[in-house]
Parts: sequence; structure tokens; C-alpha cells
Amino acid sequence: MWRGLGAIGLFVCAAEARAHAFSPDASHFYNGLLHAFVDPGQILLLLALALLAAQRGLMLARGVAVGVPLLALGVSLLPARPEWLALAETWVLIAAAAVALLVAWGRTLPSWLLQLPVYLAAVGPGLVNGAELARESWLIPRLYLSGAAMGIFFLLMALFVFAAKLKLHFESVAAIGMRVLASWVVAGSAMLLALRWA
Amino acid sequence: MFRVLLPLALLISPMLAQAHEVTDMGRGFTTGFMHPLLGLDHVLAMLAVGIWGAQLGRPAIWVLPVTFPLVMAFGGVAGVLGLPFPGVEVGIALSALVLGVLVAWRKEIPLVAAMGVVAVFALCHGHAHGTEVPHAANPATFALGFVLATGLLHTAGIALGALNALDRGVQILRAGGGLIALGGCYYLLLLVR
Repeated sequence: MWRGLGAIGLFVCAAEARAHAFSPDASHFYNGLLHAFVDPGQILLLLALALLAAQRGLMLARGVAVGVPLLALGVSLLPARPEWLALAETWVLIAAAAVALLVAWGRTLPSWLLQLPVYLAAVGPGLVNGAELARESWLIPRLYLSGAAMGIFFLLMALFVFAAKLKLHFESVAAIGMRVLASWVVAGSAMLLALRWA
Repeated sequence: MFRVLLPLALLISPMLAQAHEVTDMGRGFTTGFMHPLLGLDHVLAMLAVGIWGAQLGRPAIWVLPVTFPLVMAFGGVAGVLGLPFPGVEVGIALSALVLGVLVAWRKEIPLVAAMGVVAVFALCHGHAHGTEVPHAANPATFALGFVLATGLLHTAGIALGALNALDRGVQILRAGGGLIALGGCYYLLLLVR
């Protein structure tokens, strides 16, 4: 009885939500973390990488999971110029299209030939994150870039685990689905590239 | 008792939700996503691609839905860049007509030829979507939205193709193909008139 009344009371007395109060200290890390989730180019690239890893098995998946966020973080810490941003964003989109094309093509390739585009692709988000940041202090960029690398890792892992689970439970459908989804990524990346030049 | 009271309490006490405020990003995606869905000619052609792929079986069941977006992107890029594509609307109407006839006819044709047919029509659909992209609230998410909606329509077509396994499924799908072709005829007549 009290449990029910208590629950009703909670709903009746609901006040303005203050859950998302802005905390300036955490904001730089959090902004970086969110970056991979709100940049369409990075979403497409990470989706393509996750599909490739899920399609080609655990060896490549390990490299992607560890190598891509670390390489992106390393590249983002290099001295960068804001003028490089446009080039870096183009790189991300070309890499997304190329990696997704590999998934849609589906041919068996030597391991090194698969890893090369993966690591070349990882340079893209690193360049974007590095070039996007005004380097006004020592701490702020590092907080932001650590968050960005963490965001890349989280999004990549979420997409990979989803694709791998699908492959595990619905192998034949998932094999087709990954190639179809990869073709959407190619199309989306090509459209975004066209917009850059329009 | 409380299981009923609790949802009731939830229903009567909602406050104004401000969590999902509409931004250009979301609006661009929604408009792009709805663009293929709001044009019946697009919907009919996309469903026909999926159904036809399912009718032809492997590997066409995935090759056709992969070919379409890949080639559609070229048409879309041409549209974004403002390159002219004469007769694009006729091409879209023809796509529903021809693909509908192919589904109704249920004729086995070589995979390369099937890819060629799908590719030609994909260019028309891509150009029509691409022309709208620069005018969208957020062009980038508009483009992603229409690619996703197109792909989901293909998937719906493939799912409808599963009717093939049922007793009367083949006939139902062929009749569906006929209806799609009629739809294509209607849109063609609208353009000619």
C-alpha cells in the first residue's frame, strides 16, 4: 500500500529536472567523449571499422579495439593547425567509404592488407580532434582528447559487440546484413564528401 | 492493483518534456529519412528491389540491395553538385514500372544484368534525393537519413520476399509486382499528361 502511494506521490510531486546541471570541470573531458557520438563522419567510420572487425574475426577485432583509439589519441596530441580540419574531415569520410567498401566486397584478404586501411583510418579522427581544439592551456586539450579517445573506444566497442552478437546468433542473415549496412555507409560517406565540395 | 495504479499515475501526471528539443541536426535527419518514404514512387521501386532480390535468391538477395545504395551515391553526388540529369522523374516512374514487371514476371536473368537494371534506376533516385540535400536544415544528416530510409525499404522488400516460402506466396508476390508496375504506370502518365 505504502509502496504504491509513495510511487504515486513521487510522480505527483515531480519538479523541474536538474540532472544535467553543467559542471565546468568535467565538461572538457565530456565534450571530447561526446565528439565521436555527434560527428556524422566519425560515426560512419567507426561503424565501418566495427563491421569490418565483426566480419573478419577476433584477430582484427583486437587490433581495432586497442589500436584505433590509441592511434587516434597519439595523432591528436601531435601539433596540429586549425586549417587542417577540413582535410582531416575529408580523410575520415574517405576512410569510412574505403573500409565499408571492404566489408561490402567481403573478399578474403591477407591480414596486413586488412590492417593497413584500419590504421590509416584511425589517423583521421585523431587529426580531426587535434585540429578542432584551440590549444590555450596544457590541461584542457589533454582532457578533451582523452575524452575523445574514450568516446571512440566506447562507440567502436558498442557497435562491434552488437555486430558480433548478431553474427553469433544469426550467422547467415548477419553476413548479408553487414554487407548491406556497409553499402549504406559507403553511400552516406560519399554524400557527405559531395557536400564538402558542393 | 498497484501494477494498474502506477501506470495510471504515470499517465495523469506527465509534465512538459524538454529533454528532446529539436535541433537542426535532428530536423535534417528526419526530413531526409522521410524523403523516400513520402514519395510513393520511391517506396514502390525500393520495395520492388528487395522483393526481386529475394525472388532471385542468393547472391542477388544481397547483391541488389548493396548495388543500389552504392550507385545511388553517385546520383546523389551529382544532385548535390547541381549536375543536370534530364528525365530523372521519368526514370523514377519507370523504375517502379520496370521493377514491378520483373517481380510479376519472375524471370531468372543473369546477376550482372539485374545489377545493371538496378544501377540505372539507383542513379535516378539518388539524383532526386541529392538535389534536395543542399536545401535541408542540416544537409549532412539529411543525406544520412535518406540513405538509411532507402536501405530500410529494401530490407522491407526482402522481408516481403520471404512470402515466397508460403503456399500462395509466389502468386501474392507476383500480384504485388503487378500492383507496383501499375503504380509506375500511374506516375508515368502523370508526367506525360
